[in-house]
Amino acid sequence: MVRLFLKIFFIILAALFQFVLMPILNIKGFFPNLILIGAVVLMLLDFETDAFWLAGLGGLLLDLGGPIIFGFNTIFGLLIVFLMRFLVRRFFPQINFWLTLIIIFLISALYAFLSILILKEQLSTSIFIVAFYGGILGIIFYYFLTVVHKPTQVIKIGNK
Amino acid sequence: MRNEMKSAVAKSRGGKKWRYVIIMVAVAILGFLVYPTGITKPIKNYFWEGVRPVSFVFRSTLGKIFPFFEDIFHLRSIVKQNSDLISENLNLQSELARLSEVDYENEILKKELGFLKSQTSSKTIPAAIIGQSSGYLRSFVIDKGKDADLQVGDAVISQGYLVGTLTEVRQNNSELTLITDFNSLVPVVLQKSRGTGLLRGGLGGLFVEDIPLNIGIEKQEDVITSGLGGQIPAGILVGKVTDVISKEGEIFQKVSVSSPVDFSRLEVLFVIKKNG
Repeated sequence: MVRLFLKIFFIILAALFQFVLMPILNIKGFFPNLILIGAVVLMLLDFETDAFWLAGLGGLLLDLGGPIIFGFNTIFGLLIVFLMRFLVRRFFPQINFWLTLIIIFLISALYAFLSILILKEQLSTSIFIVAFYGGILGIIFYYFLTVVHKPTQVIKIGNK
Repeated sequence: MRNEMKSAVAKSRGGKKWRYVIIMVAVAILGFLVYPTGITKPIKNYFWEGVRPVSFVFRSTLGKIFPFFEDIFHLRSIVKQNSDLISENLNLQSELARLSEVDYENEILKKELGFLKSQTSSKTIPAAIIGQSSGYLRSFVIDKGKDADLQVGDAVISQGYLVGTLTEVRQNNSELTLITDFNSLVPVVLQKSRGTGLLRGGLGGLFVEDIPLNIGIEKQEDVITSGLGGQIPAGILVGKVTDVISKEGEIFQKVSVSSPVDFSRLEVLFVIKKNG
């Protein structure tokens, strides 16, 4: 139960960071979605339940405070985590620096593109700046989590 | 037996996870359905009320530190800008003294002619930024709302210049859309040439569109609000004309405008309430 409350506390904190801290750390007025990046990194590192929690609850909080139609952040976040779950299990059993950067770059770019379309804003190359910024943040999360939680290596020996 | 128990626990954990996911999706869909009715507006209001203290802490700590480091990188341009501003300030002081005289003279003449006070007075309400609701929208959430008698469309200024208008007003906070936003449209007038047009934001900067072709626009002339539409008072400074962009065959002129306000570093704002 304590773990659950801690989880919820950290997700609320992440949403607050998104609304308050990220505007301070903007690049040309743009900033990426911290919750989405966090959820993807958690999924890449196989923290499946935490990734779903962050994408779902964090997405709901973003929907609650944000200008985009309610449900967009939650559904988009959960769909991305589902997609990552499939991709990681099927195609990327080994995650490295470049793969993390590319995945988060693409997801951040897609999120930025859809947000701009929904908000009827101007499409521009700044999408790539935000996506790259997101990728850098993702790498920082990735290394932070791998340092905090060192994964135990499991060697599978198959039957001949 | 032990293995069976382990797999049962794992199964129940997995089941719980999917239950949470289903609940979240259900809440999102429910929210999506009730969103157009405006039911979520009070919840949004309380949400941003909760964000306010955290925002205060961040903006008064990190909000000061990051711009400081940014300034160090631009030290050379800041020094130049400072000397330019000092000389501009001196010029403006002499201009102000002259205009005070003109104002005094104007008041006397009005009295002589029996004019009533024509300009509607307005009051300013200070407001602070709480946060930004999206990284793709040029907007901020400010800490004043219906409780301070604010209305949708009210003008917001910073350092005497127009920075935006209120697009959503909740009980205790409001959404401010900056003039730099692509969807922002403000009726303005070029002060010297008297050309009227619409101020529009965008990634390329600020532009005034739809100025009639017969207007002789001067570079560096001030752009002020025209007061058309009634909500934004006339005479609020927006910026200066930097370039005239006219293409052959077009029936209107377009100018680019520069505002001295740094929109990424807004701190204290003032909402202008029009009285009467």
